[in-house]
This record gives sequence, C-alpha cells and structure tokens, in this order.
Amino acid sequence: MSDKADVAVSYDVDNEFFRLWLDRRMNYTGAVFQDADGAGDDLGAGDDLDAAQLAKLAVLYRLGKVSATSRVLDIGCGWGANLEYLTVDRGVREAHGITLSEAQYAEIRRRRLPGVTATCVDYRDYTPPVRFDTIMSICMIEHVCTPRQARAGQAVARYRDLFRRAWEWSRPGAHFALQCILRDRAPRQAGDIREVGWVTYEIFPGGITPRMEDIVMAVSPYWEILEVRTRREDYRRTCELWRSRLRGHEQQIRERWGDGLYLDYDRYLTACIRAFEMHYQSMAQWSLRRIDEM
Amino acid sequence: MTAEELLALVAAGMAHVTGRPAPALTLDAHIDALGMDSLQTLELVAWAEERLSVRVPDEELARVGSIGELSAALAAQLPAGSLPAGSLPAGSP
Repeated sequence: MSDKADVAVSYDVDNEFFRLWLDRRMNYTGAVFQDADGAGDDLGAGDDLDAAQLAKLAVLYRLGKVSATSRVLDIGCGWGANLEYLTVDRGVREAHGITLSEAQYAEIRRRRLPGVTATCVDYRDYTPPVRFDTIMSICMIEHVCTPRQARAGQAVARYRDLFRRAWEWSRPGAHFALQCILRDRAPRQAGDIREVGWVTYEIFPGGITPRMEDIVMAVSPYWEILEVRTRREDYRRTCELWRSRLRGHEQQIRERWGDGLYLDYDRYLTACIRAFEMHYQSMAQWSLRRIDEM
Repeated sequence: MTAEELLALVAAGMAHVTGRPAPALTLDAHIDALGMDSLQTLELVAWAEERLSVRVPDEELARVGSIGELSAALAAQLPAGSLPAGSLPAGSP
C-alpha cells in the first residue's frame, strides 16, 4: 500500500499545478470517449476533456446503480470530482469521500459541496458512521499492493482485503462501481521496461497496477461481477490530452515549479501513452453487486 | 537443452543485465537475494526469451520469484522433451 508519504509524492505536488492540465473538476483518471456498446462511435466529446470526464462519471454512476437517494462512499476520491458530480449534477443527497492526500482533502473542503463529507485517512483505518448503498472507487486500487507484495504473490490477498472492507461498509443489495488501470502485457524492450519502472517507482511510489485476473479472484466471496468493460484506448487518449495541456503551460510550469517538474511530468505522460499503445496497460470499469449471503 | 544448459543461460543473462560476472546459481536461490530488482528480472526474461525463441505468459512472469521458477517458466515454453523429466523443481511443467 502506498503510505502517506508515497501519496504525497503523487498528489501533493501543488493543486495549482494539476489544475493547469487536468479538466475543470480535476479528474486524475481515465476519461470516456467511446459509447457504451464499444462500437467505436464517439460520444461527441472530441478533444473536450471536460465532456469526456463527465461521460466517465456517468458510466460509473450507472455501474454503481446510484440514485438521488443513495448514500455513496468514494474510496480514493481525489480532489472531489466524482463527489461534485454526484451531488451537484445528479442531486445525490449524501456522498462521502476518503483520500490519503492532504492536498486533495484541502481542495474538497475548499469546494464546500452540498451533501459532501470527506475524511483524510488510510482506508484501512476508516470506520464509516453508516453503511452505504453504493461504493465507488476510481483508480485507487493501484495503490493497494506494492510491487514487492505483487512479486511475492500477495496481490490477490491485498485486493481481497479491500473488497472485504467495502462489503462490511455497505448495505445488503449494494453495488460497487470500480475503475482501475490494468497491468496487461509485460514490456520486453529495455527502453520500455525502464520507462514503466520509472513511472512506477518515481511518480506513483508504493503501488502497482493490478492484473485483471487478480481482481476477478479477489472480489470473491464478497462481490459478484455483473459487468466489466476495458477502455485502453480511452485512457491513451486521456493521457494525450493531459500531455497536450501540460505542454501548453510549459513556460508557466517551468517558471513556477522548475524545469524538473515539467520534464518529469512530460516524461511520465509520454510513458503512459506508450504503455497504453503497447498494451502494457489497459483500463477497466466494473459493476459489482454485493453478495449478501455469507 | 539440459537443465544445466538452461541454468547457464539464465546465469549468462544475469551477467548481461547487471554487468557483473555470472554468479553460481541454484534453483532455490531467490532473484531478489541475487541483487536483481523486478525490472532487471524482466530484462533477463526478455533476453532469455529471445535466445530460446519462446515467450513466457505474462501472468506467470508476475509470480516468478526464484531461479527455479524462472527456469521452469522458460522450460515450459520449450518443445516437449527438451528437458529430461524431473530436472526442474517440483511444480515445474
């Protein structure tokens, strides 16, 4: 598990830095550009990152079977983009987010969203005051297992611990909308191995992306998989837009935060684009239903 | 190819990746303990795959921890009969 210091490396750089190149509400996860049936038709988002991120949140809203009366928990809620979508755009009355990043927590409080509460806590230390109708988690599970744990064969146990906790925090009949990056093909070219490793250890220390089969095994016996859809191309396109926006602010970033930060993030996003192109990484969205009978 | 030849190939690959002389390997030696990280292990696998003209399934790579497991993963991709029965550790194909 990425600890608080690891999370600070990834997310506490400076909220104003991320605000420059993420979408308006600061989603830092893959967006959705294609329609739900996978026919390749564009949703109309084009290069509009704001629209594509809203489309992503709409997909997860559907996968989580959320309604206005739902009580929702967002595990790893980032800067609050999904919490804002739920309460402001969808009229959900109660949405609670947990994050381990102090900078993200400060941003959520700054937004003063109606019906939203948040806690800055490691999910393993979280005690919910109520049980939730829907659990959502968007690209947080990548922080649950360290590379060393994965190599030691402990990945499924680590993920299963998260799914067990989510089961305990939810009500009978609950749903879980999960989005995650997947580790797919292992790179064989030395340059690609180096770059994937650099992103893993320098940009997102303490974590590693899960393999799909690990998630399939880990949800049992707590959650039933209703639906899963991969979106490798969508995440590649998201990264291309992020890099384009980053480059559009190159001078400002270099002047305010230094050349190193600009170069690191350009390198990281370039490596991600390559990783999605080469099938080293993919992305998946899951609809899970709580198995109430134990 | 014999089990000894496969082990020698792995040792040569380690030397190639690390730039250090090939160590004396045993099947139960853990790759971590030999000073190789996961990225170097991946480079080693790629190097060995190229020489053997095989490709180890990615889900197996994720679980390789010892020299024996690495050798077995490579051996499983070789044509049947390439290695004498019982020449690799229990659990090997």
